[in-house]
Amino acid sequence: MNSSLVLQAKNLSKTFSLGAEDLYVLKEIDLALPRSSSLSIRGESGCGKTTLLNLLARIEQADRGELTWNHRLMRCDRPATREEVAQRASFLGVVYQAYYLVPELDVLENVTLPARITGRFDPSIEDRARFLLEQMGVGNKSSQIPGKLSGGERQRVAIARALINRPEVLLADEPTGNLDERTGEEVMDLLLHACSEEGASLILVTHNLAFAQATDRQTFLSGGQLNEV
Amino acid sequence: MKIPWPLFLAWKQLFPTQRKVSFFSLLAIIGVALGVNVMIVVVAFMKGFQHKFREDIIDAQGHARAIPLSRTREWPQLQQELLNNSEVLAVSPYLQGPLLVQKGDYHSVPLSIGIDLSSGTSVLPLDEFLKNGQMRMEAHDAVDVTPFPQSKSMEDDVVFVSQYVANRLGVRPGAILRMGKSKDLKDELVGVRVLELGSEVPSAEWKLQYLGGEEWRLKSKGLEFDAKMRANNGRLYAGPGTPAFEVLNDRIKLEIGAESTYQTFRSSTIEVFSPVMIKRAQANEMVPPKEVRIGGIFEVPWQGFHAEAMIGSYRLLEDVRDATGLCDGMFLKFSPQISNHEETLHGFCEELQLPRSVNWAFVPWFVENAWFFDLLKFEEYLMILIMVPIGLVAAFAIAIALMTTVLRKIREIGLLVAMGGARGSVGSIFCLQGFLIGLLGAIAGCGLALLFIRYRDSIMSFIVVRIAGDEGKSGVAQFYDFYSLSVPYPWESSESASTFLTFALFAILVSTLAGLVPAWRASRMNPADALRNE
Repeated sequence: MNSSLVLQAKNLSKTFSLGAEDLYVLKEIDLALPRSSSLSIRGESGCGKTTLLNLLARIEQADRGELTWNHRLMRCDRPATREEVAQRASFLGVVYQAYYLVPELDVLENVTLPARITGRFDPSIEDRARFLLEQMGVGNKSSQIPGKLSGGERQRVAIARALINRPEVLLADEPTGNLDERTGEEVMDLLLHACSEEGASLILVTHNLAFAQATDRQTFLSGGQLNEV
Repeated sequence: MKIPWPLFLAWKQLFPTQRKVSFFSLLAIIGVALGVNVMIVVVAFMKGFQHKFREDIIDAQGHARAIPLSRTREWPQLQQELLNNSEVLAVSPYLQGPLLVQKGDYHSVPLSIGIDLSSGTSVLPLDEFLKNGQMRMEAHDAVDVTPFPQSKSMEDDVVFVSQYVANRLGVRPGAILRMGKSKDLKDELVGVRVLELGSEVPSAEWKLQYLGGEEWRLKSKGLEFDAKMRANNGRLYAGPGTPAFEVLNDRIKLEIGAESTYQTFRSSTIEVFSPVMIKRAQANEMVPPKEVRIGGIFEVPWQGFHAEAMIGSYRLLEDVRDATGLCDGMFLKFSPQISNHEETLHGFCEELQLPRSVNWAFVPWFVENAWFFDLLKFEEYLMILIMVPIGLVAAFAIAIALMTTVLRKIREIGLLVAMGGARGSVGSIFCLQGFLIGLLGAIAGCGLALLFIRYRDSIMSFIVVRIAGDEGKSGVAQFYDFYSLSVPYPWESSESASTFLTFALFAILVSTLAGLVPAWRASRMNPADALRNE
């Protein structure tokens, strides 16, 4: 195994059952992500991009295949163990198209939530959260509730939240999908810059060719196969 | 302080940042609080009633009774033996049995109790019972100044009857009115008040005149009575057959010659027949009835005390029942160390009975009235049985609300798992919400219950007056006597603390259980499906 790889998937397959028929979404996907690199995945809607991210994050169970997180080998055909779930919290950060901020918490509490979940919450985490929010350009919004933020601001908060635990890999699932072009570009710049600053590897799922081309490697998912572009 | 993240999120979902409280949380907490409040208040009041009845029973019959297994004349020895025991505070013999009493064409057969005049009131607080049964008269341009009858005025030919008997026979104790315009009749204006009105005082009009210094004059034209008297320690008394007065120290300066007029009404007399006298009369013996006067009317708060009752002297009962030297039992009063705990009291009674078990039985008050307390206990359990389903209904409401929250937050649940939250921890958020609702509701409910206990009289009066008016209020108070209920705070009695704690814990437990189903549902959720949820 290549020691510079932070995440590696081998033969990942996933089938969804649609009544009597099976839908093969992912067929023996191989993927290798070197440390501090970025990779984009494009593909048509419904081709399985989000499913692939879920498999890589061990949120979803694969039919078969292996996954390596920072040299830890995991079988993907069974649910994530408690240890794997705990490891996920520090290994991965996830950014979603729909932000998924917790409406009852303010911005600062939302950003520090993953640290609470991993038991790392302390005053220094709040300092880091403020630093990340400053980096994202929403430092002055830390005491606001999500309901009072614009879409772009929410996504910036979501990126800060994904980075709070200093993850080694950031999975971003169409992070600009809900944003207008200009805001989307700003957010993408911030995302790439932040990953670079934090030394996190990035897997970006996007429909936008320009954003995909801003990553180190570009792939295209089609017919269940992931091909390098 | 580091708090577990599920607890942090549970708290935040109930009390979101920048909002004081969510509507759901408020309703749920109020619901639990009201439930806890009602349960605590009902049970506390039930216990208050039990305590009140306990006090009333002890007042009416002492801590225990020594009952001879056969009629005996050897009770004075036992009385002395018992009084030698330092734990025995008072022993009072009594005779009791039904007597026929008659006033004109009206008659009654009250249970008559003859108590020893010297020791009786040390067991029975007769003066308190007499106050309760005081009659008041209303008259134009006059004010009723009849003093409360006192147990000390009981003599061998003076009896006290229950309100029921008084009403039935149409009898009353002596009464005295001060005549004149009502506004001028206050004690402080007249300078004297009536201190005692013996049952032997005849019906008459009296004039009390101030002669200056300590000199006063009392005269009655109808009785051809005219006597001067001096105030003796403020007491004015012209002799038997006259009312006694008290000169008020803080009276206004009376003018010499100032006088006030009084009208006395002689107390009723009744004729008493005992079964022995009736038997003799049936045998054509000449047996005149015993004529006695009404010294006062009593009301014993203990409902189990006979409504048709008469209290007279031991000697009166001895005389009319031809029971010289006999006794039907003795009322006993013990020291608080013995009487405060039922088990101790029971043990002490057994200890007293053991060497005398051939002739005497020592029966504690709670054994004699066990049926009544069993009934009260049954009522208390019944109330709890009715209230517990109400608590469960509140729990179902909480469960439904939390379940709705789970459905509303499906994607958030997926996110929390994606961020590394264990499924069990995510599920526990909802269980903890139930716990917090229960905890806060229980605290608020206990607070409400404390307020209710603190202001119970005002609240009850407010409610009763609104429903039944002032008449209803006095009626309810007479029947339930809630104004004199002792409902202790939890820091005053372990029993009260246990009531508060039990219902608070019940509410917390039920609310937490109500969160279990939503929690289970949340923890079973597939995070990927949850995140895909629209």
